[in-house]
Amino acid sequence: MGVSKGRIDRLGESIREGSLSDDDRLLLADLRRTWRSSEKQLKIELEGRFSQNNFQFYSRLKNLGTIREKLIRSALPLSRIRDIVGLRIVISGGRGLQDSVVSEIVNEVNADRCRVIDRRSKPRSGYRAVHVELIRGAAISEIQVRTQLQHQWANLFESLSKVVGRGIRYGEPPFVGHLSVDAKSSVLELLHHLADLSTDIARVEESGTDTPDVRDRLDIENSVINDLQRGLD
Amino acid sequence: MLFIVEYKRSRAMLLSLQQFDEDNDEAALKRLCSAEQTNVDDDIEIVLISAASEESLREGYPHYFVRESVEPDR
Repeated sequence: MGVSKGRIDRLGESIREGSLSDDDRLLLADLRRTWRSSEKQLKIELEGRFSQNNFQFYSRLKNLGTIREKLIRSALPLSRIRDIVGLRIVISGGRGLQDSVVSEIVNEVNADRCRVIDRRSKPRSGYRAVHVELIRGAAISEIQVRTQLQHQWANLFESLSKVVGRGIRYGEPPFVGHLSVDAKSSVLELLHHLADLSTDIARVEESGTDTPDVRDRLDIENSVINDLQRGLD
Repeated sequence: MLFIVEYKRSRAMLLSLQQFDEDNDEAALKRLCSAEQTNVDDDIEIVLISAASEESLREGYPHYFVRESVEPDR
């Protein structure tokens, strides 16, 4: 499908403004077919490459709501948003394996351009993982490579963001106006605990030590977040 | 497998889960576009995810499954 960047970016403007015409919707549907094709091809390639490992693979297309949110937050044009096609590999190992998986993707997966974003050394709101941005033709994909602990932590933070707003992912304060006094207090405590856990996960992964304490704490925070979610009505 | 998840953020509630074969992209994308077009509630998240199985989806995206309002559509 040959659509100019200009046309894609005009579609982005319509999404940002929340005013999609019928033509915009048709173009979005066409673009999604292209994005889905890139996603599928890359996922098959990665699953094949790492088929001997006991990894979990996921992929998703960014939804309309989160595309809009990103367009508003970043001011980037639609053609430059890098995680519309997102793949995730959850590895069964520590940092050494994570480094070798990233290295294999960078060196072996065919791409016009490739960039590694190491969020272990530069975490965002506590989120740690390694992301590889791949550009193939007009398609930009982002591959998240996570250890189990990083994945568990990210899921907890994601769960909390569903309750108090995705702004916490960008360092904004949690939205707690709809919560009870007790729940508000739980949220603030959770944010502190998750920040500490993120640091501790990095520490144990760097040292390669066993992690029962960290796993227990992840389980505890998971229960607290689940209770918080179940209390929403 | 492909899954379309509809989720209400403010209640942390899974509203629906639809499943498609990995090769049935066209139907899944059509359903995604149609669900987005008819949805008027910004609080509802509609997302297309590919995972090995429903079990794997639940492991990978547990936040969608804390509260389920309906039986998933299989």
